[in-house]
Amino acid sequence: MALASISLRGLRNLDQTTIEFDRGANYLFGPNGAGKTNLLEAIHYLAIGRSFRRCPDAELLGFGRNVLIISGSDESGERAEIRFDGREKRILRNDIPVEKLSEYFGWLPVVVLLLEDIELVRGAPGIRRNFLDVAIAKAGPSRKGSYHKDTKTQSQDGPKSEGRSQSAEGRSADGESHHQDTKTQRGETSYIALTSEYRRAVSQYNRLLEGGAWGEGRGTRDEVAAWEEEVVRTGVPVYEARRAKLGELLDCAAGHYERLAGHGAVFSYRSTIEAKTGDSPPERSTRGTVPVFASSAELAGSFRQRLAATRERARALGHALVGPHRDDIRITRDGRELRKFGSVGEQRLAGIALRLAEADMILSAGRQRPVFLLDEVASELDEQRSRMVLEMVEERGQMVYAAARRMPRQGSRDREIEGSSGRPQSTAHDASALEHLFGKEFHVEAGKVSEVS
Amino acid sequence: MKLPGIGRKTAQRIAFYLLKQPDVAREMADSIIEASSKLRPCPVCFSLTEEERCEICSDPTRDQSLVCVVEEPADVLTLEQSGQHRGFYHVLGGILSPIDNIGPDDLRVKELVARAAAGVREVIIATNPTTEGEATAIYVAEQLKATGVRVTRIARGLPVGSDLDLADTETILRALEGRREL
Repeated sequence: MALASISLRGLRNLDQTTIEFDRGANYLFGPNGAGKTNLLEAIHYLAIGRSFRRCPDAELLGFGRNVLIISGSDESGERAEIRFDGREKRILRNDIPVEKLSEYFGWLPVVVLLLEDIELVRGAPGIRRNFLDVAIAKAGPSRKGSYHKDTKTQSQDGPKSEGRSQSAEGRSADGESHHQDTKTQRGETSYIALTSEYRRAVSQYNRLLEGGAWGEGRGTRDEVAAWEEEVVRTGVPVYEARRAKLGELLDCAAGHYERLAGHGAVFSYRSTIEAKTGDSPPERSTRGTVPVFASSAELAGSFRQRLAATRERARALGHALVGPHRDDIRITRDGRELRKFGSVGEQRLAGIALRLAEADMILSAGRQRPVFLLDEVASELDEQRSRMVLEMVEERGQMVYAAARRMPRQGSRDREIEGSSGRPQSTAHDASALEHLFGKEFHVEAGKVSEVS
Repeated sequence: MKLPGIGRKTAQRIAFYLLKQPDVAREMADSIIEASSKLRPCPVCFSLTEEERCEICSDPTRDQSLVCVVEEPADVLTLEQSGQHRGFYHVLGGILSPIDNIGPDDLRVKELVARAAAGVREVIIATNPTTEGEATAIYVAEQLKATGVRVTRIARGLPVGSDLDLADTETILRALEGRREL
């Protein structure tokens, strides 16, 4: 479902305004510092209740403003509003107050593509973990412990587990997917709840390790064992939920990367639970392969054993060394890590591929089409690639694209006149589709947003 | 001074109400003083009582061989309201939480082990289904192993972070059925 309109007041440098969006493509252009990114931020804030800049709410409040009000509605008329008065944040959905942010999260799926996404590839593992946790959470609730059940059904319907090129093509403009997870029911444990419970257990365990006057009452063997068991108990469902979704996510990302870069790369999940000491973890993408563990019990056993094996080192360092909180996504080309050896261009494309895969997850979970927020992303790419990225985005959802230059829309028009070179659906002669592709243009300058006709 | 669960506005409202009703205020003050001076932990189960032994521990109709382990005295009241438990209780007085510097020695685990060794058939661990509650349950179960007593854990069939009214009947049924051996 596309965002139909947004009204904002008191957000950073932006003037009070109401903007009606095109359901397809929206282009924001204007000089640096005009407020384009702030507008993207406003959409993100309305969708999720938080800024993508990961800043406190108070920073969103414009200088000299007392209150921030952002409201909007999607195509179906679903309304949302967030008010922040410098102290309290009030969230309304269809005029009804929402108590928990987690209940609000996801009414309007968003996917962000920023220049900083290159850090997804070359940054610290924590950035990738955070990305994958958010991507899984966005895709919707996960059935606790479904990994082992799911893999069983997956191996039965053969062909879809074959290629990653297929996963890139298979999800086309209408967001159609074979992986519709309609089993999501009320009362399921959400992935967010699973991860936060696990995080809590790990921080308790870490505290015990670091504060450990071991053997002097605190940190007795049995106490440590109890917390290790709790780390295992809460960590197993996190691992399983990741395994259940990550194969698809990483295969999609690999497919996108190959299409964009013109060469392949392996995207794999590296788990500290799986790796045995001394072994380098197997390098393969996960879809269609046999699950690493035959059952939850076997997984728990391995986790327990790995924790015990690293206990002494963990004690010296003051934190647990194995578990989903230490896992990572590894991206390699010809066996070499893109993180260290890839070019800036390759790293950038891999970051974009991960973001597109995040959108695929949302679509494949049967959720509504996401709103893409792009900030200057295409400007760092060559013309052909930036065109490809915009095409891939437009195929998957609504786009709000911010750039200093006015180029991308021009690119769309040229492409449309040339005909349907490589586009899956040939719509060159369909006037309404043409309009959809052109979308709307907005000029942003000194906090003022105006539509360009 | 801050009381749990009472915000600034509620506190203000209560304060002004009491100022208008001096009799109520005096009565309330007296009961608070009386309660805090008379109530003390029951020497058997560590729940609160005014008597030598608490009401539950001195009830001969209850099943002495069944002990339900809870975190706080308030949990005893909650469980009693359900009317389903006909055995005794044991109040740990907290849960393991290294972050708050609470270890096994701060809880009444040794006392529980001693009780369990003396003619108890089953210990039901009813700590909350939080991370701390679960870790405590695991720890307590391990300590009880030597006594050979049957140890069970109340099930957590209800999802963490979700509301009770969102759970379907089947989930609730499972939660009741699924108490397990530790």
